[in-house]
Amino acid sequence: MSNDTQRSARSGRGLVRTVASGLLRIFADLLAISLWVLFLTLLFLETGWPRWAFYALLVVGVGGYVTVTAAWTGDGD
Amino acid sequence: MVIDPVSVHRRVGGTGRTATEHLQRGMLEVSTERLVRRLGTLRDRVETGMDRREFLRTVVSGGFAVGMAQWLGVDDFLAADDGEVPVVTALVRDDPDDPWSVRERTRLVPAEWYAAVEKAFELNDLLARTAFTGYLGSAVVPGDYESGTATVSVGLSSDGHSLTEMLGEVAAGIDIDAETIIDVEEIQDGPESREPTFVDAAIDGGVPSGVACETPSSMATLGPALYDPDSRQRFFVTADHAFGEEHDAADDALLLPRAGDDPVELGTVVRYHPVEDVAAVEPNGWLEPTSRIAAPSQPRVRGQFTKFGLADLVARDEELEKVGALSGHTTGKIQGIDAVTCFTDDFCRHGQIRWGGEMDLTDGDSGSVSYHRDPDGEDGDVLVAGFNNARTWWPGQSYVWGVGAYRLTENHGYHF
Repeated sequence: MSNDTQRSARSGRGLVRTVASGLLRIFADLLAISLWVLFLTLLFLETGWPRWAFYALLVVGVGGYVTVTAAWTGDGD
Repeated sequence: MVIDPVSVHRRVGGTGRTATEHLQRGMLEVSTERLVRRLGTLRDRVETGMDRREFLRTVVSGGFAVGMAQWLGVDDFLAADDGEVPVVTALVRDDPDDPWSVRERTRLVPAEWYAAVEKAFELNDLLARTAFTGYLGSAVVPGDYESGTATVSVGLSSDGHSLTEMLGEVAAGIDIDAETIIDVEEIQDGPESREPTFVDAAIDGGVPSGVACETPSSMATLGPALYDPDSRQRFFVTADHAFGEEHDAADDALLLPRAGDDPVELGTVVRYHPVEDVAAVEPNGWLEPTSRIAAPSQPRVRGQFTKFGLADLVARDEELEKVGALSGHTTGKIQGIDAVTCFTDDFCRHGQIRWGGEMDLTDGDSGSVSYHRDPDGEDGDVLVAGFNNARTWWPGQSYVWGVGAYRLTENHGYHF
């Protein structure tokens, strides 16, 4: 807490920017993952594949997404 | 997720236990140790591969993904058993001559298939309610009974909106903006009868469906009698859009042109339903609406299909028929049910049926109904699937669409 206060006192604009970009990234994540879940649901509805495959693909997809986007943001920074 | 190995060990490693307890505790200890070791290696890997923030992101995103999958109810269809469940497939009259003796008809279908189709209906509804930018419509295409699957076909505009592109990329394998869902029928009863079919001058009281009728602004096809169980009325029906954009209240008469005679007035419109595209006309002359269709075999309408009745037809690969005043009698496969179309107007139309091909309908056929033989009825009995109101005019898709009879019943209580 005291850390945050110090930091915001030091550079309020920087904090706002950090929070804004963080929120934006969270929303982008949620949107992408929602689309991934929806896509998998529609795909499994169409194909009738087993449940374990659904959850496996779900987790693999999320892991892959985070790894890939982490590399991007790493480059960006 | 914080587990302190020391406290875990302290908790399980007590004294004064029986042998069995010791054994159990020992096993627990082993498994706990393994868990701790696994978490440790995971953390190591995390520390080398991704930083703690990325690890946290993966956990949160994974949790959100699983949570959303649960919320969408994927287990409902992924874990459905192999049994059979009864579904209502049709509303059928007990006594063909008594339109008020309607009874539900049920049929046993595989539970797996039912779960998939029901979930597809829910997802389709969810998509329509979300109505994200670029969404043009969607439809449910049930698979056959053996497969136990269903497809949701989504139409997206190609305006180049980022979300559209994203969904298009993500869902490239699915029927997004499907080019072909089912093979489109070749043109059948071709353009040999492009002259409208007029009813005979000598009509004996009842007017069948499939003949031409005239509104103040255009020509359309007359549907079979529509019944309202609340007011115990029977109506002539045709497409609402045949009366034009501006409805002149209380002055919209529906005329019946006759072959070799003057047209007669059937009645005036008492109820407009622009969203369903249906206009109910109260008879005010000596002519009554009938539950007959002006096809060569003179089918008798005995009732209508429910949403699952239509799904059952798709699963069994059955066809629909129609009789239009201009294009005559045509048949075609069902391409999608419970469809949502937002192509026209500034609202979306729900509960639509997509079937046949765009050559099955021309201007002037609006108001005709699509129907299918009643599998349990007498010879010549048919059940209505829905109205035919429009067709595709854009490339890539080819079907006739109109509101399903079940949708009219759900929203307004009418039945055929």
